[in-house]
Order: sequence, then C-alpha cells, then structure tokens
Amino acid sequence: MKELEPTTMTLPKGKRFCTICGEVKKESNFQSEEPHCTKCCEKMLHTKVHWSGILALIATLLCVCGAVFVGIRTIPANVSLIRAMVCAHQNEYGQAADLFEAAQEAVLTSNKSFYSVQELSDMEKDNIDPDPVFTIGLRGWETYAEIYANHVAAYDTAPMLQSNLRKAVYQKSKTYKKYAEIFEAYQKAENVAIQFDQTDGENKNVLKEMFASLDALVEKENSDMIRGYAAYIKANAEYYFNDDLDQTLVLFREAMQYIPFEKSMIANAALPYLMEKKNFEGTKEFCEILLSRDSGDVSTYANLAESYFTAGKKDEAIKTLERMNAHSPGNPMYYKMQSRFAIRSDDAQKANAFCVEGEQVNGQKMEQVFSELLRKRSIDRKDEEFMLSYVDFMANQVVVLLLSGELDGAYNAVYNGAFNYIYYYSSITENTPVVASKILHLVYICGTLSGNDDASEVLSQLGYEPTDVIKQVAEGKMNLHDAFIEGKAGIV
Amino acid sequence: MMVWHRITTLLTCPAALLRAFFEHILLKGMKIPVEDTDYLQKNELCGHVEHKPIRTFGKSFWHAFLPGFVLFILGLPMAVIPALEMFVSGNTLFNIRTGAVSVLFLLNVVLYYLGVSMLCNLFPSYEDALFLWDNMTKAKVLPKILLFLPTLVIRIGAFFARFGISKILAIAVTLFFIFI
Repeated sequence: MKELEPTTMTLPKGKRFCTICGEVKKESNFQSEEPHCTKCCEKMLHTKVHWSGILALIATLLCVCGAVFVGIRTIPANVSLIRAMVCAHQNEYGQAADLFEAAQEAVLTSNKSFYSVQELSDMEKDNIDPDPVFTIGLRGWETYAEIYANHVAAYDTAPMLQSNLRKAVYQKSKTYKKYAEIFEAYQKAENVAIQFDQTDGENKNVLKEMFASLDALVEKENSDMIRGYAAYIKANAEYYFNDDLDQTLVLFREAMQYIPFEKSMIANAALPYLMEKKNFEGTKEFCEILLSRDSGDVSTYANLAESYFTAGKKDEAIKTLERMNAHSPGNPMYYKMQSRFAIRSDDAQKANAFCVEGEQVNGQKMEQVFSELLRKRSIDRKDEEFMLSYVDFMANQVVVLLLSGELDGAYNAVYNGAFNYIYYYSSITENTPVVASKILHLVYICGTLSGNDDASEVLSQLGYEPTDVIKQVAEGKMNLHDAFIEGKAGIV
Repeated sequence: MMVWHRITTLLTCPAALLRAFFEHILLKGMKIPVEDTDYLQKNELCGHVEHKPIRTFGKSFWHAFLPGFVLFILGLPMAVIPALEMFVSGNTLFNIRTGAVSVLFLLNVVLYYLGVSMLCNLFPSYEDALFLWDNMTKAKVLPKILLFLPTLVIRIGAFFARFGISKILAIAVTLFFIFI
C-alpha cells in the first residue's frame, strides 16, 4: 500500500485526503492525526500473511528437526574428536588416542541406532558392521594418523588407516599426503615379503630373490621410506629364515635411520627376538628406545626388568620396576614382576607379601572392571590392559599358593578367579590372550594335584591339551620347585 | 554499499523471507498497521515489512528483538551441527568408508546454508533500529537501564547489516574453515 501525496487542490471544509486510498472523505472517517481513513487503517491492521512465509516456516521447522536428529547422533563423536585434536596439539597423544577411540565408539553407536535389537544381534552373529551412515571424516583420520604415528606403533594401525584414508576422494592436505606416502611405501615393500612368505621360506633362493626384489625397489624408488621399510622387512626375514640376530639388529638399526618415526614399531618387532636369544645389551638398547617415546609403557619396563633379571643383575631389575611404579603407581604389572622375581629367587615370603599388597591395591578395581565388562559387553583399552595384567599377576598368586602347599586355595584362586575373568573376557571380545594358556595350565595342574575334577569337563570343551611338561608337573613327576622356580613349566 | 545489502540479502533469501514473516506476525499481534506485505522488496526493506512508526519503546523493542531471537534459536543448531561434521570431522561428498555419494553431506550443506542465512538476518532494518533508539531515549528510567545494552547491540548490528557485512563475514568464516 503505497502512500499518495496530497493534491494541491484546496479541500472543502470538514473533509480530508486519505494518503492510502486517495479519496477525499469526511473528517469523521479519520482518527485524530492519522493521514489515512479508518477503513484503510483497518485494512492495514488485517493484512494477510503471505503463503510463502508459512511455507518457509514449515520448511525451517523440518530442517531444525533434521539438524537435531543429526546432532544427537554426531555431537558426541565430534566433541570427542575436538578434544582429541586439542590433546594431539598439546602432544598428549595417549589421551588423544583414548578420545579418538571414544569418537569411533560414538559413531558406531549412532550407526547402530537405525537397527532394532534383533537386527543388531543378527548382525553381531554374522559379524556384519552396521551401514556407515555416520563416519569420521578425513580430518578426523588425519588426527588419528598423527596420534598413532607419535604414540603407538603405526604397524598395528596401518590397515585401518589405509582402508579409511585411501578411500577418501579429496586428498588435498599435506598431512594426508605424508601418510599416504608412508603406507604406499610400506605396502610396496610388504608385497615383496608376502610373495616370499607364500613359499613358506623353505627355498633359500626365494629369500635371495626377495632381497634382490627389495634392493631393486629401493634403487627404483630412491626414497628413504622405501629404504627404511625394506630394511625392516629384511630384518624380520633374516631372523625367521636365517636365524641371524646380529644381521637382524644391523637391519633394524638401518631401518630406524631411514624411518625414525617408526622407531616404536621397529623396537617392538626387535624385542621378542632379543628376549628369545637372551641378548641383554640389545634388549636394553631397544627398551630404552621405546621408553624414550613412551615413558609410561609398563610392558617395556617389564621386559627390561626381565632382561636384567635373566642377566643376573637383580638390583637393576628391581630398580627398573621401581621406575615403572613411579610412572604408573600401583599397576598390577609391578606386583606381578616383583612376585615373579621373588618366586624365582626362591623367596616365598617376599612373593607372598607382593601378592597380598597387589591384591589390596588392585583387587577392588579389578572387580569394577569385570562387572563393567559383563554389563557393557565390551571393554576399554586401558581396562583391557589392566585386566590382562591383573590376571597375569593372579597366575603368580596361584603359583605362590601352590609352592606353599595350599592346593585347595590355589585351585579356588585359579578356577573361580583368573579362569572366570579370562573365560568371560574371551567370550565377549572373541580374543584369546596369551595369558589364557598360562591360566589353563594352572587350572589343570591345580585340579589334578588337588584331585578336584570340576574343571576337567570345561577344559576338554575348550579343547585344552596339556603339554608334556605340564602333565609331568600335574602328575607329580616334576617337583614344583623345578617347574616354577627354575622356570621349566614356562609359567612364572 | 546498499547494493551489497541487496545482493547478500538475496543470497540468504530463505532466512530474509522468514524474518519478514515473523515481523509481519508480530506487527499484526501488536496491532501496528502494516503498509506493505511484500517480504522480498527490491530495496533496503528486503527481508523486512514496511509498517507505520511504532511509538512505544516496549513494542518497538519486541519488534526489533523477537524475530532475530527466534531466527537465532532456529539457526544455531542448523549452522553448528553441520559445521562440526564438515569442518571438524572433515566429512566430504563421498562417504569415506563406502566411497558412495553421502546423502548426509548434502543434507549438511543445505542445513549449513540455511543456518548461516538465519544467523545473517538477526537484525532489524536500520530505520527500525533508529526508531527503537529514539523510543528508548524517551522511555522511563528502568526499561532504559535494563534494555540499553540489547538496544545498543541491535542498533550497531543493524548499522552493519545495512552494508551486508554480517553476510560477508559469514562467507569469510566458512571459507576460512574450508581452507585451514
């Protein structure tokens, strides 16, 4: 309604000009000073809202509902991701890794929300993942790559990074390119190794061919990454097929020079060889490399302490355990190693004292972790490490009880305690940890020695077969001192 | 500079239309005569409704504040949630796990556009903001003290909005997030 200009014509007395309708009307049709008549004023007060506004409002409300729907499912993951990014920026990679896992868990939960309980149960049975409606995007995976390159050996996570990073289409960032190059290099080197592995390594000529292929690859690509990964693969091959530890170590050191960001992966790969060959100096060197990258890694402290102990340097071994306890106070690995060294030093009293203390410090937490595992039907990584470490510690407790002649106590401790934990852990995570075989051996030994055959049926159901040494211990043909203190049973 | 206002308002036309719609309903509710019900006029009243001057401070404050507040409430989740998905997580057009075109990404783009549009249309026309300021100076002491700050924010916001600065800023922020 455009207002009209009043005409210059003189209006008759008692009449006024309406600026809206342009009509000259009686004074009584106007409200005091308003320039428009009452009729026009009424019209302006009752204008109709436009349909386009109503449509826009409905569409907006639908969009808000859509945003809230998406938000409920994505905000927990994105908040964890932001926190992981902040931690990674502050070089707190351990915490960042945990937060990233929380983000992954949140994404999985969101994807599961589209299915019924029955459908989820069927999918779990068939080992099928829910459709990836919500995913962690490229920037999230870049953070992941950064975290794991700095925190955990990249070797373990390479397949996951490959499958997620490679599929991304818009790869523009420098971070992605860097990691894509790493995995490209690793895969090329690994392909050569896989070809060799298919022959079971029986033919030494194939080993030579593999080395020649790797050398050709190094020459062709002229890249430090390829050199590094090639040296790493050669080192493993040297140990497996030539049993040459010295050459293996030379190659591992060479790999570290070319791919320093993979030091943790390389040191972790070297450590089992060094421990197997009881190479004290090498173990010390590679453990220190690992500890320089993660000073809170209790397994590395345990390996280093074990190496000192085996080399007869008991004081150094204990000092290493104290170092571990200072970084991670009261952890079950500390009590496990202390009781282990005490058992092997034939000091039953000291071993018992550490078992009692370890139980006091960690027993309650173990109960919580276990009930949480049963409730959630899944377990966090930190809790998982704690649980396995605690079960390993329990194995030592059982050995102490066995050595002190408390057969029934030992049987109860292993069958109702450690075995329970491992049994439920394995059934929920579908993962059989290394410590499980140790526990089964102890169940068998304790059950046979105490004449209690409650566990025999469970053991046969699990397909457990005792080794000859374990049979000898269980049948009393080998004394417990030799089995445990001398370490013949391989349990302590 | 007014041409910027027109261009940027047309770029955010869904929110401009919604703002004008809210203003219209509010004016009807407060019994203020509305002169022109065209929501997307080809002048600086684009996204606003032409009405008779509002004489009281209370009515003029609600007229300036409420439509923007509702747009803020509606626009915030629509802008923030897709922004987290696209700029923090880094989800792209193609699903990173399956490689297929991601419907969720397309939805996020639409929601982000609408959300940012709404956040760009929070302020009333500069004319209304001046009327509000004028009414505040004539108001009683208590409402003047209580509503001084929001009125000042509305006046400053409306001043910048007439040059399309809020929209240009939104585009700049989006580009910043895309390229960092």
